[in-house]
Amino acid sequence: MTATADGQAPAVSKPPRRRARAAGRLLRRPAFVVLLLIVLIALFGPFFLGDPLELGPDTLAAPSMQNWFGTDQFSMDIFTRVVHAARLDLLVGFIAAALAVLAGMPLGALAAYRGGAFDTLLLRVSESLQAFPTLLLALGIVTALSPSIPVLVMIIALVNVPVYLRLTRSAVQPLVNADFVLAARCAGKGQFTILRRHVLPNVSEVVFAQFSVNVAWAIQILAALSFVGVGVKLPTPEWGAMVRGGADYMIYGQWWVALFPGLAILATVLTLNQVADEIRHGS
Amino acid sequence: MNAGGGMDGIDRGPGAGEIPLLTVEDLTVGFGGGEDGGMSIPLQGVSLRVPRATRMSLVGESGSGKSLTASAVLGLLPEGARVLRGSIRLEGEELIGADERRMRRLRGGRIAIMFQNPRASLNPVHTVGGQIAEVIRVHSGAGRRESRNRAVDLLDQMGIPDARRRASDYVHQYSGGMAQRAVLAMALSCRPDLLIADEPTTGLDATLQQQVLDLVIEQVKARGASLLLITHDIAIARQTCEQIAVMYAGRVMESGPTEEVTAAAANPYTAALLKAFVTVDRGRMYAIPGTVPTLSGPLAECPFADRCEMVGPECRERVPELRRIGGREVACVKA
Amino acid sequence: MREGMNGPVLEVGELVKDYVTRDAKLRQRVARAVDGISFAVQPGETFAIVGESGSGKSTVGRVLLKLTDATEGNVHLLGEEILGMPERRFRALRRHIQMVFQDPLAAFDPRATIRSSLREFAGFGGGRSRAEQNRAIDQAIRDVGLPPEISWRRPSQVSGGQLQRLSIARSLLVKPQLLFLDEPTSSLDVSIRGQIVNLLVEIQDREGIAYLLVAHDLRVVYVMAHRVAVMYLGQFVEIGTRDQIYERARHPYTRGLLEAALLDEPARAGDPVRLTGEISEEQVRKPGCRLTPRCPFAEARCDEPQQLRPTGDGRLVRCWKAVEVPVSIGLHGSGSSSEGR
Repeated sequence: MTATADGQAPAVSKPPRRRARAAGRLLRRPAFVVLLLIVLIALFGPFFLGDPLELGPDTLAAPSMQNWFGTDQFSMDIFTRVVHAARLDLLVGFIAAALAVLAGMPLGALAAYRGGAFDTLLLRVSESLQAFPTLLLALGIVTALSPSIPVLVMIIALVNVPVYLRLTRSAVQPLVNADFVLAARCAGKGQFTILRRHVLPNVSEVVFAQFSVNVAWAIQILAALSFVGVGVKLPTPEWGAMVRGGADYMIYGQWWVALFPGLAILATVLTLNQVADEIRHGS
Repeated sequence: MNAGGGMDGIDRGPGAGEIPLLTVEDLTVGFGGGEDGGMSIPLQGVSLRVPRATRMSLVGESGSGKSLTASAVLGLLPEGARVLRGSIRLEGEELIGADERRMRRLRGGRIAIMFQNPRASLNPVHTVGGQIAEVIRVHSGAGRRESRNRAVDLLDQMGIPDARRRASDYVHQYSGGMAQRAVLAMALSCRPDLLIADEPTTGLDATLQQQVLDLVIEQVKARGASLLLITHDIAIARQTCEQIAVMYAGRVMESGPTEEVTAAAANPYTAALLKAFVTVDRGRMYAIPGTVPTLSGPLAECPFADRCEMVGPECRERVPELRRIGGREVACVKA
Repeated sequence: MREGMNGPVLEVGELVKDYVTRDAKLRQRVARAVDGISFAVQPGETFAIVGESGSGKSTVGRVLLKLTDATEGNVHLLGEEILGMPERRFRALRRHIQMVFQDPLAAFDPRATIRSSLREFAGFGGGRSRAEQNRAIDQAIRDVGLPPEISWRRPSQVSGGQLQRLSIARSLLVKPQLLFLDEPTSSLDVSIRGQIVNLLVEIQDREGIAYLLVAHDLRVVYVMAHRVAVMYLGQFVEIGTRDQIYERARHPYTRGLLEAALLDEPARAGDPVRLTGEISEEQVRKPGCRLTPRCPFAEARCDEPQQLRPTGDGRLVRCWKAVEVPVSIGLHGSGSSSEGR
């Protein structure tokens, strides 16, 4: 306390003001913009369209000005159904992936930070979970339980937990003895504070990139489960189930019934994967 | 830009017969942009000459451009870097704009390179002896057995004990010092005229540093080759090389016979570097104030002006050219 | 608060640190990085440990800060034994012993502003208001010769030299009694190195902090240290005052290190010593002097265990020849002190 003894308290420095150029930053991430669009469509689209279960005059009508994507075997409007289905698919995808992150990330971080028996145990459990083919595992559990939406979400989340656990663990491991973590220990910070303040923020980029991939993956699993008939059942609007329902008509030339929901899956999955890339490579 | 043009050696220099082994003139290298101004120019007209059978050091701090100069000579400029101006000649042959095949032949042949990290220069999945033998085989056309024997001989000459057995080891089985000896053996395997050693001992401890440098000098001398030693340590340069070139902010500040330059530096930067590195003062260390300038455009004044004790208004007028003063060249208006 | 204590800031007794690793066949291998070292650091002094990489010198400091566990031995910080102390209780004592890292860029959280890194230290143990913390941070930054505004940047946005100053400012925020300097200049450029060394010396003169300096740069050690310990393969081979070590080194390893450092001055007594070969952990398993394969003076008796022995001028040397027959290893009694006959 020698240098400050001169009485006059010097003005405390202020942080510089920075204009967030969010728009500019978004433009450099086109896939992000597309994803935003898809989410907006899922959120607000249904308000502008009719009931997805409403029956029309024609079954299996080809795409026209009346029915942009045509109608299906029940004479429902496919465009309306594809937009409505976006809600369910994205919601299941996001929630399942989010649950997986919430469980996997702290566990993985703790495993890496603690090490020892705790780490080994978690690793073995997640390895044995991952040893099963994902779809088969999901299939097994769904057939054992009754296939309701919450059950589907839980299952998709469960098969994704090991992914985050291992990802976070391997990202955290090099940080455990990083100098800045040691410095925080020198500042008298405890284990959990250090994890929360210094370790997790530094792995968030990797985890968020994976999150995006996993939402896509969750949507694919849901669609696949619906496709093989244990997921969502028609006529509930869901992309996988719609593809399943339309597949039979493909050979008769009524391609639109399966194609449009299929394209919706493709576009969403590609966009999410692209977003993951942008997170990884972005500034 | 004389890219592509000067292959036929028009510019043979004044005195015939006295062509230096390596001549770098006004070498200017830029990164990125160009028109939109996002350009950085890390080399701002570097000039130096390495005569035959001479050991020369290129001394500078990080960002001085010493390693980039070496990369340019080797034709291995990093992605995004362009030669804006200048020439690099190996015995009169222009290397800027030379085609990649020619450069590749020079790199393994007349010019050899030794990097800071020996483990990164050797392939981890091949035996050390096998790699050296391969280089010999490709460059000299010798047979397998013959190449192998020559590789073992070389390792032995580099002071690797039990060379025949160690030749079958992989690089991870070598200690740091041994690995750097093996890299030297590989560099010398095709009998280069010029060995470029980029901080060859920086990762090594002082006692090892000395051993490796002794070996490099001995080998280069015995083979009549030239050495371009790139180092941040002027004390090492002083001990190893007859000639010295001191770089700062992408320019050569002073060059000449090492003894002359270190005994009485003509450029204040050289003097400051010597004081900071060599002189040990009790209780206080010599410090050069300020930081190295960022080279975001062409220089307009002496790059050391902001940190120089002797700075005057004439230092700000323009970039001082390298001028010949006695046996050396100095870029300082006050010299 | 320094009046109360006249004893050493830090006292280390027979410290041992083993690293257990597994080899390719999953067999346990014990590597002894630190092998029974003892020393004390007095208030306001700089105690330096020098040696090549692999000597274990950095490990010593990390053990003392309890960033890694010791295997054996005892450490007293301001009189209190800390090795057996649980982490939770030691946390409060951390304010007395701090660390400056070799690479300042690695020592700061890349995502956080420098200021928030400093704030963690300013808020040590709680009890300071945010305004007080801010004033303390700004003052600490001014004390190392930088404008406080710089702290709003991120670590990657300032130069290495500036960041090392900020790292020093950060560790001083808790007013430590002892600062462990782990190669504080070796990631910096030559022209910046002197600035940091001078700053550290100024701070010591002003605040009376003790330094434990670990470095391989013998120029830096010469300028900063009061006493020097030379470490080789986990052991101290020579301990003495700075001048004893630099001008009248006894141990062949010390002399070899000084020779290789290409120092201009001071003039050294005795013939120059050149060490051959390199450091090898195999030697740790042998009972005798660990330098024998590299030492030009080695003979049969060197294979017997060597103790640190006093030479009569207050220093300790782990070499029987240096103590008993210095002339045989090229020490011609040209030094000012008695040759310990």
